[in-house]
Amino acid sequence: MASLAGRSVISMRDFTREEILHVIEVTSEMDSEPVKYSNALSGKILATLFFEPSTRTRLSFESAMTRLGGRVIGFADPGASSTKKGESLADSIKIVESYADIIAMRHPVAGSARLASEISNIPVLNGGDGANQHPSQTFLDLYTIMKEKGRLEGLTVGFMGDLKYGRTVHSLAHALGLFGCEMHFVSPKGLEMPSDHLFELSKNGVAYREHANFEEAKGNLDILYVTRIQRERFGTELDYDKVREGYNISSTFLEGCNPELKILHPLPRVDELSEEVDSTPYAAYFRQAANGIPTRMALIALVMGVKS
Amino acid sequence: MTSKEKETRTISQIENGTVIDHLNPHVVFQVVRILEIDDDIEETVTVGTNLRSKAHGKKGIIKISNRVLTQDDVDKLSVISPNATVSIIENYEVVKKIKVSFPQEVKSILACPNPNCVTNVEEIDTRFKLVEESPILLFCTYCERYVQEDEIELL
Repeated sequence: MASLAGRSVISMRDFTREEILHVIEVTSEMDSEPVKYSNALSGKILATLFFEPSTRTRLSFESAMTRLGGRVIGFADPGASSTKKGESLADSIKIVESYADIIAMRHPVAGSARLASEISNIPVLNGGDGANQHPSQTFLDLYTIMKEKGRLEGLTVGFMGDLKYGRTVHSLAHALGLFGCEMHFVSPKGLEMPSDHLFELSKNGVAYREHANFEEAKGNLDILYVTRIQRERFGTELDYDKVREGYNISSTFLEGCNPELKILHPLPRVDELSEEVDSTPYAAYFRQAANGIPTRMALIALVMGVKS
Repeated sequence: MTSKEKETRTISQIENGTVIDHLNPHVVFQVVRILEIDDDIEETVTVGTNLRSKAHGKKGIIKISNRVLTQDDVDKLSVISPNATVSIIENYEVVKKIKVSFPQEVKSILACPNPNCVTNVEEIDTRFKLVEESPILLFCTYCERYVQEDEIELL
């Protein structure tokens, strides 16, 4: 397996099954022994370029770098950068690469992270590029599944909510497809998994089914990955309310599920996941959120070459 | 004279240069444009369209004197008319016949149909990978969207 040192993390499609398992292994080490790496990146600088606001992802990258002993510079709002003055992304990246050793960026335009990685001489970590990819989220989702279930191979995984616009769903489904997982997609009409993602799953020999309601799918699920359904995706408030009722996960809703089921959610949640579920053994989403730090520590350490 | 010989004789009527045959008649003038054949050209160029073709019903043909198409030209041509053939002519004889095929990677010829793709926002070349040949299915290297045959547009 080729080393990840010097590489950028742009898309889950760039990673093989073995590389994913290696990242998970290093994440597990960062999780159990964070102190061991507390000076690993002393003197190194992470630039966080958030051309689109995202407090959680940015703070988590910054916290991960700080825990590795490195320092952080950057901006959280494009209004504070030269982009507002009309600077091209290429120019912004060229300038920043001389200020830092690694870049974490989020940008509203799809493909901007790939472009940045082609221009930059230092590794770029994609913290979200439009509707396309958000690989550090997918790695943390995979790590959570591994930690909760002890394996990635052969699981039965349900995805529920807005599967059309949810990029975390698309890249997680792609990655789990490398591990022979069976997938069930539950979404309201109009928010189904996009056909090109289904095409790609079929092409990769992944077994999947689409469902209009959770009842049909819930029988044997090991994992249920829930995403937020956004009000603005619907024409009227009434349409939204109708859908919301069928997509609210409560304790009653979960009756008859696999007792070992674990629920994941990239958060923030609104109505799709009742607070009463938080205290059930199904809830894994707060542990999932906490896994963002060791995951990003692992990604930074790997591409910076402090972990081989 | 066999029909094959007749055809060869017909397309060999330039002394040196390139003959592009079996073009999809709907794209003949697009090909003229992408090969940058314009009013300033000094060489002899013949453009024919809606000619009879046994294989495809109708076809187009372009003959360019004293110019040998580069691989880059052939790649561009193959994207918009994958059934075309390219013959290189020397001393009125066909010295090389190139069967055009859709390239595995297409750079800076096609536009990405995703308006939120970085190639439509920044000044950069587009890049697509060929996923399937029939019907053609491409994959944008930047926004990672699959692009179907009916969505393909030249830049």
